[in-house]
Amino acid sequence: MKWILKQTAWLLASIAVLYVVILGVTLVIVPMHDQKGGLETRRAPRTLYMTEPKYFFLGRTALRSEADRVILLGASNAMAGFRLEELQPLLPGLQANNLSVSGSNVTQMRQAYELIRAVQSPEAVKRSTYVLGIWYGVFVPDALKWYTPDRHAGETDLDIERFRYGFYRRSADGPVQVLPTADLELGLVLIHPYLAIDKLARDLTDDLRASLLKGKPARTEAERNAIVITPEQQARYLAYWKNQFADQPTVPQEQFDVLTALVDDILADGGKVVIADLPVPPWLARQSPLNRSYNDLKAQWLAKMTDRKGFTFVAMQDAFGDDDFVDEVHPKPRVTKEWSRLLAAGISDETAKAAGNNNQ
Amino acid sequence: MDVASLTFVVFALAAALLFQGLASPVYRKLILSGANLVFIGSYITEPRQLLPLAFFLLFGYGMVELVRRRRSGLALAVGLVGTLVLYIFLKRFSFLADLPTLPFTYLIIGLSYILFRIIHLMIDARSENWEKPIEPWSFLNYPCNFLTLVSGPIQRYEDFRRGEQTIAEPLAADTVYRSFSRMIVGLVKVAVISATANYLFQDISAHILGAGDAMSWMTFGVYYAAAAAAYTGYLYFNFAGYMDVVIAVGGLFNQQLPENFNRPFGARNFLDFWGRWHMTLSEWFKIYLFTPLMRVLATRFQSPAVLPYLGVFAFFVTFLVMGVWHGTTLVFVIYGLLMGAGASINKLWQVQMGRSLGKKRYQALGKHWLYIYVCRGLTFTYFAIAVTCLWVDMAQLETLAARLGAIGMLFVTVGLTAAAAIGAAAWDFGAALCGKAAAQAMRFENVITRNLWLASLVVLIAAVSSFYHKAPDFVYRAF
Repeated sequence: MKWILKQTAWLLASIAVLYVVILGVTLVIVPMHDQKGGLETRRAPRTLYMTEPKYFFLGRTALRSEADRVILLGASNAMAGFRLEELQPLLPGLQANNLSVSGSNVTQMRQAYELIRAVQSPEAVKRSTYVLGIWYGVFVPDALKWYTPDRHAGETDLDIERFRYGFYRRSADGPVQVLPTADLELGLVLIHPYLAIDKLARDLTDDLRASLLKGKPARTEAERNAIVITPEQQARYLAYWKNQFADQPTVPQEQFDVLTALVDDILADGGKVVIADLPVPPWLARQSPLNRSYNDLKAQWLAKMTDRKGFTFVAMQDAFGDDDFVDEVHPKPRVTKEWSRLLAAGISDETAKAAGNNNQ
Repeated sequence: MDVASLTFVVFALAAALLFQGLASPVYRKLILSGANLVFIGSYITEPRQLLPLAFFLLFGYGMVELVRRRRSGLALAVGLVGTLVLYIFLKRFSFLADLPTLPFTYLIIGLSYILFRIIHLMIDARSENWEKPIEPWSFLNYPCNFLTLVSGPIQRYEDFRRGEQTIAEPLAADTVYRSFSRMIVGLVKVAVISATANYLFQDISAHILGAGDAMSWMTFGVYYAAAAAAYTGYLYFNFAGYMDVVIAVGGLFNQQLPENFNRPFGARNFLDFWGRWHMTLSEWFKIYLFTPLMRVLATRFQSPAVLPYLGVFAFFVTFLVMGVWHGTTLVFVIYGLLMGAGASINKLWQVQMGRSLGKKRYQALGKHWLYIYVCRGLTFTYFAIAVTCLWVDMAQLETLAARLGAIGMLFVTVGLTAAAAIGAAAWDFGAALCGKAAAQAMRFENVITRNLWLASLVVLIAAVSSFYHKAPDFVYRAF
């Protein structure tokens, strides 16, 4: 028995010494993430966090301070459409943050809100306006979205980040927090070697992985502006989303119920909600039965929601033409300013309304 | 409880500490039984899920006892058929889907390996004329050993008994270090190398199992060859790493578990390969299927000219059964046929080459470096293509075969053989260099350096595990 204890002690001590050395070296070589201004998941690849979910999960501590904020949550179209450098100047007095994560459905948007709320004080929550970017693609049910072979059953991309470094652990009742939210900054220091090694490994193998596994290099903004969607591509996009909904022609109610719960959570915490009904190309609106089903459910849902105090709806779905999109949902770079302008107008209405209510 | 997990490591170390903390053999046996129960219990959510497994064990014990008392061929036949029928019923083979099943989900993990051990006990009880019955406690601890339950190695009962006799011996410091070292190396194989191979395999195979229609047949062939090679690497490091962990933990419980791998990709032919891969399973099939079958055939066909071809046939049957054992669907029958074809063609080649070249010239050919590397490349390629059956279903296999066609398969075989032969040569060269470097490094070995080395491997495991976020499943658990 004593040899097992002795060997365990030697090994643990060696791990501790080695880890401290690696931590020191990586802190010198790769500095810690330094957040200035609002958060924007679009920048993730250029940061130490590299991926959008990781940027969100580890970077959210920047939202601790009390300030008047706008926090955008949504999927990749909300991320691509609302660029911080374009949105921020339109929102004077508010700090804009775009924490949309590609591939999100409403369940993941709700998790995002819960994770933000965990780092914010009640006062900070009250001073936040949450913009929820929706279109039919974020209403894919959980059973179709989060049950893939590359993940533990049902885990979202944000769940993966919870468990990745042991900040949470799995249990039969869902994720259980291991590292208290108050110690998140300490956790960031402790996992720094892993973040640094991960970043170095990815940077070093980027070209190799791109050539082996992905193929085409990223397109430039000019190339994206010049894209013309052919009828064959339209058919492929329609088939893709049909497949996402397991070939069903209608959007299920499930994610609208989650959206109701999310809105109610935010409002109950004293925050404000802006629902941005995101633009889609007219060809998609015409041809997709899913979009029609979404519009029907949305109309019913809105009828129930509009009387809620602190709730605003910004209709953007039909605001752009076929030529303003690079695919079935993402805007061309030349129109993103207009996306931000439309949203900012909606947010300003909401803040003006809120100010009016406060003055009464 | 996944063997390649922190939970298992903590559990195994805690159990080993308790085990070594008690000197009495009885207490040590009790600790082992307790560990077996906790391990099995970690796979169930309610006790009744254990009932079929418990019944299978009880039935097996009864059959072993029946054979031991009667010692007749009839008793053995009844025991073998009864156990196999019960096994097939519990295992729920897809081609017997119409049979009634139990109305609740139950644990079948380790069932195949328990079957091997029970058959081994029945046959040995008769052939070795056991005088005394097996103690029920030993019988339970033998097939339910938490280290070997899920996927072997298949320890023989005599070896297990020998281990029981040395159970009270004290543990040496060097044994402990070697166990820790091997366990960590095993975890590196599983969590780092096999996880990386699996990551590559998942990405590459998605190209051919998804929208492969748009590719030219040559591109498709390259992707298929890369996927097959990546899967083979994943399978090997996953299984070999798992074996390292259980054999290492066995050392902390005074158990000397048999080795299951011996550098299989160094094999120069398919039969040699199976003498190095999952060795305890190959040995089991050799003793309990190949040898008796050869004996029966040799008594029936006594012409010396026919004798070598009996071996070809016996190899085919043995490897067919071994392949089919891996799964419960039709694709595993194809796998079994490929295994059987590989073994029998290999044997036939040996027979024919010996006849046409003569023994001396054939032996000389076997020592030529080019022949050796081509054979190693071909052995790897044949195995990699055959184990495709483990990662596709029948429909996908048909699509793959149709997409590749005969020319595509030839292209894949030649290309992968060449790549594997070059890889084998490079590996040998690298291993020789590393061997020299390791010998130099040994001069600096002391308790600090060797623990720092282990610590660096632990940090590597943690880093790579966080990178992949989902550890690959233990592949052989499914078989």
